[in-house]
Amino acid sequence: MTPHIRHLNKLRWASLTAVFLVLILLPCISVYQAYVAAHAYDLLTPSEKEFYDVMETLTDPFVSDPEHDLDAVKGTTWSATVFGLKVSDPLAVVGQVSAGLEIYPPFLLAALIPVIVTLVFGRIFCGWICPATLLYELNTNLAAWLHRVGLPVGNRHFDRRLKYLVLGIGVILSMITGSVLFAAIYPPAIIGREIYYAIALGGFGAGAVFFVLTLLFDLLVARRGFCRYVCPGGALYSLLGRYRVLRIQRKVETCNDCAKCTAICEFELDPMRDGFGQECNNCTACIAVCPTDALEFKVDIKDITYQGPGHLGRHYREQEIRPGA
Amino acid sequence: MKTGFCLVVLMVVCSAPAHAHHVLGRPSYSLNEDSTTPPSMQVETQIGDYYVTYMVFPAFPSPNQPGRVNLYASRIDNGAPFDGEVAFKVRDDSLFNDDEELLGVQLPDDNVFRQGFEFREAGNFIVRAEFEAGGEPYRIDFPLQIGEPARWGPLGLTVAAIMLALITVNLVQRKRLVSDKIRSGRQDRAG
Amino acid sequence: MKRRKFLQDLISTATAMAAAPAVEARVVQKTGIRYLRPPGSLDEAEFASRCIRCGQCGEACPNRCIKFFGTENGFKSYGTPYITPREKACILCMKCGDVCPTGAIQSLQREAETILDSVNMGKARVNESLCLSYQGKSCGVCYRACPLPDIAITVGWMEQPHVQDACVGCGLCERSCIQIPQAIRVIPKHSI
Repeated sequence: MTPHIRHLNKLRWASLTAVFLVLILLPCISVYQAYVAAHAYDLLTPSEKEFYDVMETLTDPFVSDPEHDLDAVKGTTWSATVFGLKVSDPLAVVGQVSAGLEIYPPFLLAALIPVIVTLVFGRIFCGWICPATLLYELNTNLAAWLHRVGLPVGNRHFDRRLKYLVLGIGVILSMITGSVLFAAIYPPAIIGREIYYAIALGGFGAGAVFFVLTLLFDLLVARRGFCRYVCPGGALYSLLGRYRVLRIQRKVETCNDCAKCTAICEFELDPMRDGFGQECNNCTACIAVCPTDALEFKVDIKDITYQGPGHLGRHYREQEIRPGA
Repeated sequence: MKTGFCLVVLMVVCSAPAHAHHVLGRPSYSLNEDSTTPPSMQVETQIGDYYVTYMVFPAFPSPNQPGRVNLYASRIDNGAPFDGEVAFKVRDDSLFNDDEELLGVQLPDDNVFRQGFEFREAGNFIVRAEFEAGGEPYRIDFPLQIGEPARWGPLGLTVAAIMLALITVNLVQRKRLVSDKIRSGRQDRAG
Repeated sequence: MKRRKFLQDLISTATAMAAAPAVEARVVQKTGIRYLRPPGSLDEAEFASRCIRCGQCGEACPNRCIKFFGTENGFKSYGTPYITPREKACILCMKCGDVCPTGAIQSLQREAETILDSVNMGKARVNESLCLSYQGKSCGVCYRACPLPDIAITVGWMEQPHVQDACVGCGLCERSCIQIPQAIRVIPKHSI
């Protein structure tokens, strides 16, 4: 169709990077606000003064009273307060409800926007927002490079349904322990928190170790293994996005069966054979790589069933039929 | 792969929780040198029935500089001070090291257990205080650092190195990576 | 709450039955730290199940007194906020309750009556053998640091401090105590 949906993948990278930068900026703002509130510029060390000056130049055009005005945006991708509006990851709500065995209505409302967005766009959080996705995709690229220079990288496959099991076990363990366990193993929650720890509290915590382990798992055991097989949030978003309204579909008449889409897909889905399913996170990597623009967004709550090989495939098939006939 | 795992194991071990501690005698928001109060390091723990406060003077003693450890122990429920004797032991803070040296056994003086020390070498040490109360043994480990503290821990360094490697490879190889990913993805499926 | 207790009991009984009888005479005591929860926090047991470890309370704290647990206080407390009053005490600004999405820290008005009614982080305790005023050197710094003077803390002869029941446990007295180590400390609600 139009060639500019090919650029969506670039837009997605920009979005991921922007989210990551915001996650770095917010702790800096928090520290800066504390310095402002202390009214003790003279007592800061030279490096702290430098930090203060940089933050002042950055924020000065937007706020008149940094101590209070900068409170407008707080939090991470796990849970945030944006201009008084509270937004939380649906997994946080599932975790809290199962840990507390009770429902706190204002918190349910916090997940409303993400749930609606997921019902329409599917696992868009995973592809476009999750700060871990940025690092995991960079990690996939690192793996591809390692593979080219001849170093062994993991390419094992497991059952993708494993993550639903992780989600279920997490819910049950949260019920038993009375503690929101997902927060400890869910990368988007970990990353925001660890960046805050590193910037505002002086060092990474145990979560950084866990996240590095998941990076190594992806590198050494299975490509994008954590998102594919383990992530409980991914599982929840997949379930919510099963009947998503907007989905990527293949135009069989334009497809030439080159399989680039299937090879590039981070979630081992099979766009070339119309195999999208609930786990597609609308990341548009397949659209960007398709040489014949055979992939497009469609409004439908169900995938098209397998349409057979593309036009080039039909061409071959006809050739094969002709000698026999 | 093996070295990767060793590294991770090391990181997990090294990141064992530090006790809550802070340096007194200086404004908490700036640990700079122009302060008139001699700084001291304070670590507080809660163990069994007791609050135990441990102090080091000076905060970061240098090699060949005499220093002192003060220990205060009082009951959590009513604040009554502990009045038995406390043994102080020291060991090097490295993995799999069990060589302990007895610093001394102290009786309380005005509810304070004082133990002097002087180290010849810089490094990280663990001071262990041992005492017995209510028929239960108490054993508490405290950090003691001789010489300058390291600015970046092993954890921070590792995380920074990994992030740097990720970003560098991606920047340098940007163009080639898509075709590489397709190639390895295909092999992946074939194999 | 009861259902969980039942589940936990069931599991601990099962593990106790499965494990061989331990031949350990004396257990060495475990260390922990004395910590306060942010002002307006729910009770300790409920707190861990409400808190989603989002860290917004720490980010909103203008005094940067809120820190977060790693694994040192057990896995249940992982990522939950706490305050070490001797390092940085709570200034009772109540911003943490405003940002808390789950009500683990209740949102409270920043007014003396509301704070006196609803905030209970702990209660200060004076160590008379360390306190300068009790040693004949009139001090009174804790009294001056208290955000609720004459309500939470009163002073007598030689400015000797007396902590009252109204004390909310913010820890500003402990933070300001000039004695090293501090002669006044907040005993957390969950330790009393």
